Amino acid sequence: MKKTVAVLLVLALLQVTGRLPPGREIEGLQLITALAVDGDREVAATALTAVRVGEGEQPQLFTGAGEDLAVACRALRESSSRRAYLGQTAQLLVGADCDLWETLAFVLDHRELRLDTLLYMVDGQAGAGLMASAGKVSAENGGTDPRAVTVGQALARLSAGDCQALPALAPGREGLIPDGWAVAGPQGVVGRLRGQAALGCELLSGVEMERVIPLPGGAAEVLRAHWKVRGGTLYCALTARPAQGDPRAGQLEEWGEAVLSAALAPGWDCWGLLPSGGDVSGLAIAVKGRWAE
Amino acid sequence: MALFGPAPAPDPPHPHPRPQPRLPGPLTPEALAGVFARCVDFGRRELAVAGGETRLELFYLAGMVRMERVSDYVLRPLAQDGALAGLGPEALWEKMASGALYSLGVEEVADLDAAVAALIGGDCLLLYPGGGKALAFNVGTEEKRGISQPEEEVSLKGPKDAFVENLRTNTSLVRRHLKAPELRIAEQTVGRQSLTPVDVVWLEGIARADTVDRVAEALEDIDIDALLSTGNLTEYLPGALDTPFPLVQATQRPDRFCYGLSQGRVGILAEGLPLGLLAPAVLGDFLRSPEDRSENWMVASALSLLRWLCLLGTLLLPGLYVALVRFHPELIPTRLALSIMAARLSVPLSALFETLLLLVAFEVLQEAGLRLPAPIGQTVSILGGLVVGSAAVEARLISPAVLVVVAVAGVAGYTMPDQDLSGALRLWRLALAVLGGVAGLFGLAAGAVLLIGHLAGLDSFGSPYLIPFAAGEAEELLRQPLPRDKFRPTHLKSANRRKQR
Repeated sequence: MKKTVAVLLVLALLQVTGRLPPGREIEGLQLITALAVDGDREVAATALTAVRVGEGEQPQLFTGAGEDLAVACRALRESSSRRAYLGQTAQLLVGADCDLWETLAFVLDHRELRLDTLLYMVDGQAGAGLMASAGKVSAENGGTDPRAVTVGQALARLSAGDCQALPALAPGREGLIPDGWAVAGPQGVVGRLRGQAALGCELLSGVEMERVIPLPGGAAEVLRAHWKVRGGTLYCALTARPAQGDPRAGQLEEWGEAVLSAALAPGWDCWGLLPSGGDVSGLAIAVKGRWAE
Repeated sequence: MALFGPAPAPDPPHPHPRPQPRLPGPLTPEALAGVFARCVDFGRRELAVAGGETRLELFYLAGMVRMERVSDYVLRPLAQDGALAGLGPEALWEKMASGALYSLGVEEVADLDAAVAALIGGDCLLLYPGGGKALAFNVGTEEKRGISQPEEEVSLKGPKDAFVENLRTNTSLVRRHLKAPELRIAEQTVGRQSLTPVDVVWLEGIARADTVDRVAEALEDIDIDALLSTGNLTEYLPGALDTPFPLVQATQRPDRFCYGLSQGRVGILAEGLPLGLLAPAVLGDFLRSPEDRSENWMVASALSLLRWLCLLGTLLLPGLYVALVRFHPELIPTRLALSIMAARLSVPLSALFETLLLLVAFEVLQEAGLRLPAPIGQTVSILGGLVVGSAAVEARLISPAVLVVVAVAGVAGYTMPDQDLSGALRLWRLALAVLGGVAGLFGLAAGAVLLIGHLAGLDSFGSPYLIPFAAGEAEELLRQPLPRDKFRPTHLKSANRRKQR
């Protein structure tokens, strides 16, 4: 009993002297669900609040700017009547002109931001895109994105000197829409994979696609892709289901070879194809297509 | 140096709790009358044996003896048996002691102390002419409550009998369940004024002799005025003052008591207490329901796991809620966090104060329900739990989330089969809620480590308290299929570990 009292006293003392983080009432917080970062020298942060789906609540947007992301976030907090809390940030949108490394390092150091935050690269201004997509993004609380890459995953690969494919977004008519993949390397974003290369990237990233692709004999729904690299050849097994007409397995294989070739052509190894890293454009490709039962 | 001030000086050696003899001196009619002076229930009568010249004195305590037994088995033969007429004092004494009087229990007492104890025990005394010795005849009343169903340990499939306040009835119940001649019942007297007989019960050859000795010594060391409640026994056992957790297991059910004895544990029965105590008792014992052995082993195992989960739930849930809401909202799923925020927006109290308030209110309601007669108690529970609870939520005095958390923690606590353990958990639940509210998960973790350290330091008559998590007895977490449950628990160190082929 004495030990319990002693621990209580020690904790109370630590709390009083400010050695422990202060407790805050949750209702005094403004939960941020998405954070967009833009700019290189003058960093702008745009935050979107989470709302309860089906309750008719309107999400709020806060903005802040400063010489770095930390200052921008402080400015962002000052613009909110309640304390903007970044611990619930589920999506981090990085603008085209933003330093990716600095942003990731900020997340790593920040007390509230989490490493399981989903990371998106925006082709253009992330803040403007977030404002345009506010309703949609805010309602995505707890949703899952098949293309998701977290800040932690990206940091792990980039810190090891590898490339990482990050899902890219681009401004569309109704806000941000998926737009292939951005490839980040230790030096920052090194390029983009769009069109067939993006499809190849999805195959290699193990994304559950369920994507319907047109084939000469009709259309097929690609369900799964498994790959391995042996002796300088990338072997890929595609599982699909006929969606329309009577497509042949050979046509599926040709499609697979085409999209994988496009993804490998720039030479970036975002998927750990080669144990030592390096240029993957020289890999031979062998695709085996089969129809699901 | 103790935590708060210097360590208290050790108690000076005190006199023996039950000095023997308590009443020194010769056994005379005057001495007996002196002991019971100003006692209205003290009875004394002079008799003429078979109407002759020889006169004897009879002593008794009214209410402690059955008068018709005294009349029929003692007075009538003395008055009417012609064989007793004309005998000299020694021959008469020999005849009375050897069956002329119709009592099964007859004992010769030769000193005042024993004579007084016999009178208090419900005997009547026939004093030898002139004093010096007496015959004590067992003619006591047997007023006692009938054997009824256990009220706190409801039996669904098992026996329906429960211990009563009478010690001999309780030992007979044990004997009926365990007919082994190895059953040993040793008696001690506890209480300077109550002189309560307390029996230590064990199975010779199965219970560890060292444990029996330790229990007997612990009882011997109890020096109190009166043994009138269970606490008079349990709080005087070694180490019991340093923890809210029970170190002996109390049970109302003779079948559970006997199962404990057959496992190699040592039992304690006391006059006036309608329950038996089992030692050693470890944490796993308190999580085991007596009904477990009547259930299918798979069902019982699942229920056992459920109880362990409930133990964690009742201990940690309020603390976890406060810690998450005040310090770590990032660990709450966004949708849930938004719901909690919305519910708390109009609540004027902080999450910590709100939780503590509700925990205390829960205890108050529980106490009120227990202390009142059953029908009123139920009404109080319904009024408090439902009406006041929902009114407080509607009035935005508390948030629904904390009400749910405290209610779930409370109900989880009710799954504990042992009330003593439940009480200890309630105390720790409050402490953990404070720690969680003051320092978040850090405080909660510190509290949990403290609790585990505390439990790991406990010892019940030589058995580590944290069993089944200690001493390699993890299988005790589940209920083994009975045909495969071949050995007694290791920690009991029984000389005869195998209990079935």
